[in-house]
Amino acid sequence: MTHRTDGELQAWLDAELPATDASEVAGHLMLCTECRAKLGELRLAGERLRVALAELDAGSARTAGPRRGASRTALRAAAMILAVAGAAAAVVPGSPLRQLLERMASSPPESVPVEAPAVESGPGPASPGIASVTVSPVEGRVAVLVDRFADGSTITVRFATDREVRALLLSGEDGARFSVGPGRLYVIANAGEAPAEVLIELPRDLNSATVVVDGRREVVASRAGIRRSGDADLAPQDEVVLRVGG
Amino acid sequence: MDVQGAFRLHYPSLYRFALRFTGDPDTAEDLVQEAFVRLLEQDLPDDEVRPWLFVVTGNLARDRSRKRSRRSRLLEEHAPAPVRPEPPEVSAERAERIAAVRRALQELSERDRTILLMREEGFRYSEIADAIGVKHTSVGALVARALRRFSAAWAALDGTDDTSD
Repeated sequence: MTHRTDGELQAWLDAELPATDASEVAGHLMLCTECRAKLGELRLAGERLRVALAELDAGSARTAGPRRGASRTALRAAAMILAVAGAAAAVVPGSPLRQLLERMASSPPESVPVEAPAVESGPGPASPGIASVTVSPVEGRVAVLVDRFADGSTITVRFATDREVRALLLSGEDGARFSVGPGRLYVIANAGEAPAEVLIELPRDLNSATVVVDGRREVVASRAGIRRSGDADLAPQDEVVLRVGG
Repeated sequence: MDVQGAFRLHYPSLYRFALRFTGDPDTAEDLVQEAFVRLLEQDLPDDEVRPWLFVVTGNLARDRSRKRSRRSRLLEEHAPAPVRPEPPEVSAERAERIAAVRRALQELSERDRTILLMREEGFRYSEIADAIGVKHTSVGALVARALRRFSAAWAALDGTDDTSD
């Protein structure tokens, strides 16, 4: 009896053999204990890999966080990336990815009616002495404007949406860099540069999003609406300053 | 080519592939960014975008690894591979197991890693063959060999028996 090779058995396991070859291998396996044992080893090795990768992925998810420093790529491209579980684009003037961003920007905005009056909040109680944060509704989106963003400050946007979440550097060309990961977007102010003005755009119909500036949760968005922390006159729990749509 | 759609569709799996390949989230992010930057300069049919992204990301990872290893040799001949510290909530045992997986993957050749990780992402043998430049009919044997190598390496590092050899 001619035994089957590891390659044939693996291809059989992976359903990569032509039908006639697969039938022959199946027939051989019924008769050959040695090849069945080899098949079992390969199946076990495949399972081990799957388990190991799942463990690695879970560990990586725990350890993933803001980048330790600006990467060459991020600095060079001044970072634009579409992220993940919903796309995020961080945009900087002069980015080599500008072409894509312009294409994205030129796509017509969703014509979602804003049911509530477009209330613009005034500058809020931002992180002390570092930045001011303004939240306002725009067509189909909510704009979070962070001004006077400088000297190592950070913005973290966590989101769950299949729509675009965008960050744009409106002024201060070298003032900030961007980084993204699954469901998150970071903006980091470059130390020693002039203060930057950063615009975060959230889609109106997102599932959830949080904008954190220097560790302070500034904006919490969900299907129920947009909440801005720190506006004590709009109870309950210090938050609702505006609602956009349903 | 719908680049925006490609971002949405392929970023998660491409990032996972790069992270598994390199073992480092920052590097993985860089590589994926770079691959998408390069994608902008391409004009590919939609069905070729995914394999193209994975091949480019794998190539970038290999290039970076070579550059890094050359640099490392100059700096320190026997420097240990950096291990990303785990947060305190991850138990020591779990952290050890994760580190063992990383090391087992890093012990594989780049080709073996590419084969296994592309296969885990659901690529067909024909696509893996194109990516690594072998005949389609050779891929089964290469997968089997890489699996056995990984299984043995992980078992040795994890301190468990490897019954697959």
